[in-house]
Amino acid sequence: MKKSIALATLILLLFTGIVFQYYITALPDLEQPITLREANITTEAGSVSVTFVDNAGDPFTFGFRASDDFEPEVYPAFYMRNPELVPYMYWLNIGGPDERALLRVVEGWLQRNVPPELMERLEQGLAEDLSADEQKMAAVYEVYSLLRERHQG
Amino acid sequence: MAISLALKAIAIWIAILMLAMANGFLREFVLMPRFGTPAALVLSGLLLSALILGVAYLSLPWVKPEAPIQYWLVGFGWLALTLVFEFSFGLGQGKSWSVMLEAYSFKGGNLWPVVLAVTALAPYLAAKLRGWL
Repeated sequence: MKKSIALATLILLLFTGIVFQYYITALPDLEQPITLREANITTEAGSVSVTFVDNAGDPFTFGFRASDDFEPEVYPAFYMRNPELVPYMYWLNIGGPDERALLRVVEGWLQRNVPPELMERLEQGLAEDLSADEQKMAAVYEVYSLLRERHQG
Repeated sequence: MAISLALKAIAIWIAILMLAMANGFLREFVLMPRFGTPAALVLSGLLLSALILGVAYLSLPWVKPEAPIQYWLVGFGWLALTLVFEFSFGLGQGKSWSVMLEAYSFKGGNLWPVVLAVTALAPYLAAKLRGWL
């Protein structure tokens, strides 16, 4: 009897592990409107970290790690489904479907929230004299730009 | 007895997993901005190794392995769980083996192989530190 209970516990732990793994790697279904809480260039090389908050108050953090030693084509992107609940950084496969899904989220946010004039300036690389809020949007655009390069066409 | 030991070992591994996640967060958002990527990777690797050893040291009286072989079983069990967790992510994403094995090359200051070695040896080292062996 004891062995059966212990075995059942092991199977339950394994199942919980699989569910947990799925949870932390799946892109969340963010409720509109999504607001930009924070966006930073976190390293001298230009790593970017952005945190969105959806209508339900759930945060979602994403970005990429830049490096002086590598080309932007291989900068790894990441996201944290809910950094306040599980601060697990999920590193995306370069060029993979998770990156494409993240690109769609970021693209949708930019289309809904960035004024066309600012979007035009960012597309032309004219990022000087931006206000604090615009700088945050520019950081989001950096992520979009990196991912779009990999997934266009 | 063996199953009880396995369950306790898994529970401790889950605690180690949580610490590793927090360590990754610390590395990316605190250490890298302050010290740069290579130094942050080294510091993060050393910190995680110390944390794993600390957890092993503190949890040993609860696990109570009865024979020296059980220290190795627990350590290599943790190592196996870690590798399964890591590679199942990579394989699920369709990553190539060369990409997945890049973390094992010490590239850019990544001490991941050292962390794995400490993971496997931690129960034995903790028992040594406690003077049990």
